[in-house]
Amino acid sequence: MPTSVLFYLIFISQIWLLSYFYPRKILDRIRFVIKNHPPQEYPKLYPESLDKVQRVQQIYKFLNYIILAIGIWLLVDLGMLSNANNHDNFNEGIPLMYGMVQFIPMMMLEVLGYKQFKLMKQKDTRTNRKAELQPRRLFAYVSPYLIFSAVVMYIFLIAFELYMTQYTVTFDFMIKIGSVSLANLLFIGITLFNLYGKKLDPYQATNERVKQTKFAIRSMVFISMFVSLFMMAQTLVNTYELGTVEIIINSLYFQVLAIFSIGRIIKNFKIEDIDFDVYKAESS
Amino acid sequence: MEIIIDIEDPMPLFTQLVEQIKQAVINEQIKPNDALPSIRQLANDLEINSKTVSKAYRLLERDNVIQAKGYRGTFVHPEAKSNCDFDLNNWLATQLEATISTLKQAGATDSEIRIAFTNAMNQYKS
Repeated sequence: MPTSVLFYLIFISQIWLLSYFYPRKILDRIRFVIKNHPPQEYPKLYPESLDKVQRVQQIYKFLNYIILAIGIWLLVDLGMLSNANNHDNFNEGIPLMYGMVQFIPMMMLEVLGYKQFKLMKQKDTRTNRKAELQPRRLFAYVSPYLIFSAVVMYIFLIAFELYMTQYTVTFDFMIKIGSVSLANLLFIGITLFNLYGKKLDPYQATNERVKQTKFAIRSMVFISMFVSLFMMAQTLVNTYELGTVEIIINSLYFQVLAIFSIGRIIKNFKIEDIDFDVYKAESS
Repeated sequence: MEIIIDIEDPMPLFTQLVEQIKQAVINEQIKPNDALPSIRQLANDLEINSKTVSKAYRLLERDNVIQAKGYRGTFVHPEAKSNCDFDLNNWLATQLEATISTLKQAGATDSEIRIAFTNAMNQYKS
């Protein structure tokens, strides 16, 4: 199959997955919560009005439609203006830039979710505070072998990059390793926050918190491993000048990120299994 | 094992923590050498100041109910259960009452006892 056709198929998959399929799943989850856990019975879940939630839902849907339309336009534009045999016409940055734009609605939901938790805390009038008298240890939430694999992958990346630059520390090398190191520091920070930080949702049940912590830490480890792999793939592609392969890798990068983050949330956190009783008016 | 504190209870928070941990030891809900959460973790979970938890842990360590083992963390003392029965404040009150009774029988006045007590406390400070 010519690489250009392969690219179109993978880019279509990126557009569909990140701007249609996963947003639809998230909107289904929001609809399920509103229908089955209305504010009259679960007032603690709605620190502001139901209208606000529905407004956010509409904005999220609208943004994804706009981005989906942009994706289709890009696809048509690439198809019309590019000669299928001329790989040089593909802009390698398109899947990366478009992928970053596709994550904007999700980031908006994250920020608004964080604000919602803050409001829930402000409205929480309970005077009792509870805590488990057990330490939360990293390896209770993630296998040590997985952590070890992520560390090995990172070290292998450094060794690989040094080998490719013939053991010379170039500016590109420093930028690459610096970026991955910063990303890994961020992942470690998120892990520590999940383990030892304050609960974002003041009403969250202990078992839900355990599930969430396990999920968050494992996601960070998988994403760390994937970022290392992606960087090595990028280096190989640049070294051997595989132009169209790079554009395919860039598109796959965002899809894998989405699968490991949004996809895993949808798969592992079935909305029907979440304990919503903690948000009822009479729950303590 | 869950610990519950009431932020509006007149009993100080650190006292609530100390009492509940001691009670958990007595009821064998936590056993000797069991690991306890770090000060930061417990403070964040209860949303109280870490100094409050630190004070509670210090008092429990003084009473040999828990042991701090540096980077390894904090653990229940091997003899925590028997040490929980010993109430330092009760013992202090009993000792002081007995001493004051002896001094009064010897004829010392209240102000003489207070001055002597203050001087004795100052000696320990310096």
